[in-house]
Amino acid sequence: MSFFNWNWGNRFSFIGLANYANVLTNQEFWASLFRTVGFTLLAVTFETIIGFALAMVVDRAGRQAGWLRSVLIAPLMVSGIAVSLTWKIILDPTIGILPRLLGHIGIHHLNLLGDPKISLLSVSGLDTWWQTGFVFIILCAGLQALPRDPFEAAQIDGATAWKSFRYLTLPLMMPLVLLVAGIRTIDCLKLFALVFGATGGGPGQTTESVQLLAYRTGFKASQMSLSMTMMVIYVLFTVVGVVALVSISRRGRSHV
Amino acid sequence: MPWYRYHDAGAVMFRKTGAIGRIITLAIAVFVTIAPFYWIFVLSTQDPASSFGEPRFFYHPSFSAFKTVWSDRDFLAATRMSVITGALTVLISLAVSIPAAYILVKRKVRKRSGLLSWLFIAYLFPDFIIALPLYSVLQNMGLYDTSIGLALAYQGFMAPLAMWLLMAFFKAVPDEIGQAAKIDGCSEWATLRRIYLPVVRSGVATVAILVAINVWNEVTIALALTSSNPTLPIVVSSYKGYAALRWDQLSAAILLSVIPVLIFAAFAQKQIVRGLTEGAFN
Repeated sequence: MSFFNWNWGNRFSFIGLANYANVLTNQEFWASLFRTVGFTLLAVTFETIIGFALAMVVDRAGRQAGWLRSVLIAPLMVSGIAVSLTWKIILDPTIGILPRLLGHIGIHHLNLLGDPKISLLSVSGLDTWWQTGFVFIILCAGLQALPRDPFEAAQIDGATAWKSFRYLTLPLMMPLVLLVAGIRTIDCLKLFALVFGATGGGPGQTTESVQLLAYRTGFKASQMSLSMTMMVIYVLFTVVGVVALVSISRRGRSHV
Repeated sequence: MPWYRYHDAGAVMFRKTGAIGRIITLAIAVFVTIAPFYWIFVLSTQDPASSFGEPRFFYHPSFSAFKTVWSDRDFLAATRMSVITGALTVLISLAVSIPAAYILVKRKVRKRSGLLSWLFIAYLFPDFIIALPLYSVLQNMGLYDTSIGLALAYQGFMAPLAMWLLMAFFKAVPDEIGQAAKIDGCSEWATLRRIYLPVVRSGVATVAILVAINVWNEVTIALALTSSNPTLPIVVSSYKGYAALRWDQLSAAILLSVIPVLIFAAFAQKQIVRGLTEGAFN
């Protein structure tokens, strides 16, 4: 479809690579690409670090671990649209609960989703609230499957908690951590529901992701083939990027 | 007390502060996780007009919004649709990916990396690009607008996800266990079922939870592949309303939509216990 000119009608006309030239010279497309990548870097970093830390803490919690796990993955069970609506209600500068509570302690006019300077950071924050549970629950299962013997040996040898984390837990967990971070990266690159519900891409276009731009181009501006071209280019970009990342991490591991 | 458990006073202090730090971390995490849910609950039990004034934490809750949502026939039908679709998707993806992941990890399979990269690329595709071709495929097969059709369509995303995670869990199991079973005369199938499955049980339960949650919340593909039998998230977001915003009903719908999958996750959690795996490693 990306080689044709089709705008929802019956007329298909072959136009070769014109769509590709169009998209690749489109400022909006590049801007949304960088924005999505920035969002992904922020969100995946937050989620991986917080998720791993929580998994470590809960793993030691003994009998409390069961209900803690259930509580901490609760946000995952809300759909993206509902998450974005929920936070939109909470963060709204006039009716939201959070700005009003902050007003009582002297922080006024905090518009987390509406301020163009911080809106992308806020959306990453929402994603962190929503998806940290994903990283957390997988790493919990991973921690439980770790063999016990090396840790007992380390304890007998008098290793500190930090040392047994640094030289045992971290290397043993690394493949799983990288895998989870990888899955989250791909999911984040597909960012749509959160910005669709919470900001609609705004203020201005400061939170418009590639999928949202493609949606707007295809469904609102009725340029379906242009929208599909964007998606094809985007998939190619992500494939190349992810393959590069995987090979780098493989090389890194073989050196260790 | 065994000699190696003996700590001097400094180490005990360190452990105590460590424990307090852990408790504070958990308390913050639990609070941040729950607070939005609590606020949604507050909104759902208040008159929508009054919730725009000063926030009130003590009031007489009214559950009429829950009653309205729960007696809504669309909401109930969508819940049924989502439950059936979710169950089918979990069953199919586990039935396919447990044996597949096992064989890929424990045996030498030709073209292995090629296979894995295809799964990878399938997962990478944005929802929109997949939804359009799937629409025509399901229409031709007569599975459009059915839960089984939707469950099959989801395998495009869910089978790769389940495969990767299960492969990671299978990899963590030492090969010696399987080889010992072989020597004792177990068939391939019996080795998988009797030896490996109990060990990776928590992994399988985790995968089941994640697949169920993902399907439960998926919107784009469900929107494209159903018309008169929408899934729950679609119906919930329709509570945004066209004319008037009913915060109370929207909030009640959000909360009610979380409950079934919460029950499932709590049930599957029970499987994530250490006891069973403990014996296998020693």
